[in-house]
Amino acid sequence: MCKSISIISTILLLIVFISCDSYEFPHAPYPVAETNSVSDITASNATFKAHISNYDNTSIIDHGFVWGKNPEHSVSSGKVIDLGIFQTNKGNFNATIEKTFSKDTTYYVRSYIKTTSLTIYGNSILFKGIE
Amino acid sequence: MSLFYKSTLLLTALLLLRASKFNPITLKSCYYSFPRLIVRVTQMKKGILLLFVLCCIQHTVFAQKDFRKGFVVTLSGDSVKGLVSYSEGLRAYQKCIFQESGNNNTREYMPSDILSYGFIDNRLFRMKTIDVNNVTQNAFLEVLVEGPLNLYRYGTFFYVEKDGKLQKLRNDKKETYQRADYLTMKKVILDSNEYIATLNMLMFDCVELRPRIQKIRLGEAQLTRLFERYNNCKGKTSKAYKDKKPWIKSYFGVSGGLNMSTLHVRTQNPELWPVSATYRKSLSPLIGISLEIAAPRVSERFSFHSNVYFLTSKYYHYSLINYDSYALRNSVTVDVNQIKIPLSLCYTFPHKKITPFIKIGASHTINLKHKSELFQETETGNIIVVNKGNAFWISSGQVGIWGGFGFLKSLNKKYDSFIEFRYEQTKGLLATYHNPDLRSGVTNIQIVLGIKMK
Repeated sequence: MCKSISIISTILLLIVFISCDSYEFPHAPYPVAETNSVSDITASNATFKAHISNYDNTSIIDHGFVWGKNPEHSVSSGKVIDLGIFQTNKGNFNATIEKTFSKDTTYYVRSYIKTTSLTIYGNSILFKGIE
Repeated sequence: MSLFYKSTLLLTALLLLRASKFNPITLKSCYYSFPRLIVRVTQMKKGILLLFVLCCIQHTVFAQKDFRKGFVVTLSGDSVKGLVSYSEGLRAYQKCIFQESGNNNTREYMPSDILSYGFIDNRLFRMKTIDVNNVTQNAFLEVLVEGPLNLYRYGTFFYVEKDGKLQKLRNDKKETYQRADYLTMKKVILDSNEYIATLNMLMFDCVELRPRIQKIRLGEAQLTRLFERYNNCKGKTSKAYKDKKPWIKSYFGVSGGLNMSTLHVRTQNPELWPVSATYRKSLSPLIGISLEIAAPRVSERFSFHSNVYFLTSKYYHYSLINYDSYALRNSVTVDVNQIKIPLSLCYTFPHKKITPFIKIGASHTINLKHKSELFQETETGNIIVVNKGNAFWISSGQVGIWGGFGFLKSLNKKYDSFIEFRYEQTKGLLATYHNPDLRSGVTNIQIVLGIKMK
């Protein structure tokens, strides 16, 4: 009986082990920016956070955020927080903006990065002014 | 090791070698990680089906009949002990296969050859002459209750015997027409309920049973109880031959295993193509409890099964769609925590050292915590824009059908261990109300191991 239970337990543990089959999507042939969150929103400032995945370690010559009332602002049409060269080429970055936001107005922010040949915009995140 | 196990092991090994693309000439196989190998085996549906069919054939061919301790009573009234083949089908009423103690010769008795046959602490069959489809013939009737009033069974028919006179308990169906409204008549099928009149007549001398007779149904459990009460009412001994078997018995168990799940999403809407695909197979452990409800007195073979399983499924799909002026890279992730409640009817083959069983039933899946995400990169010239959002809405539950087979092995007097293979198809994962243009289906293959009470 004990032997059978230990055999069944071992097989079940093996099943748990083999089912831990993780998966990664194919990597894009360029670095990807992902806007994570907007935090610490007060009457006069907000903190934007983003992440860069860069499997080929491509040089990032510029990075930052674009924000405004339009979800599809670009570096030429929106308000830009330019953070310059990203030394590590991948990882998290953030920026705090000091600005009075209109109460109940919806704003959008998205991260951006530039390589020598591409401009990559992260996903757009909305937030509302509280003053 | 018996031929059966050897053959099953050999077939399983052949299936695994084929799944790993093993080349018998170069003695090399294409590389597959073990999880991927399992997935590949499950993709070989024909192979699995073949394995199951071959196992069943082997079991049928090599397995012996379900012989149990019993006896036959010859025409001269002599009782001979030995082993009797146990059957729950119509065969039990038509012939008796007997193996005398200390003798390996098997004899087949027809109803005219012996007076009765039976099993120790179990069923008893007695030869009687009855009408079957308007033909008078001898048959073995199963004795359900014996006393002043005897109750017999022949398939789905019941017979009552008093003072040597055998009567069938009839409940013929009658087609008749009833007025549905002022203009039309509708056809209805009515029960004749003749058996109630027969029972009233035969049990008239036991007044206390009259209200019970009016409500009785023509089933083994209710009739057995009624006849036992009548015989007790008459102050005589009453014998129910299967009274050592419970009417209802429940067994609990614990089980765990592996769930291999495939999500299929289809659409005619080109805007939804990024999420339309057969997703990468999800491999996840499952754990749960099982409940089996059986009526051993009615059938030792059929039982009702229910389980509650907890599992998590993760589906992934990546696609690259190239248009004239831009390209889309789509990464879809679906993550669902589920409680699965499969219900089934189980047929267990005669008990052996390893006992096969088959199941068929329906299932309900409750989707607890769930998330679906589409991560999309749009590449236009030298600009790339990332969009992230909900891929689709997931429903709160799914219904499905499933079937499976497995094997039981006795651990000791109290517990059995089992292994089970299941194939399930559920009607979608997506909430059709919120995703009217999307159709989805989920196919699950499960391997379940467990321990259950006997």
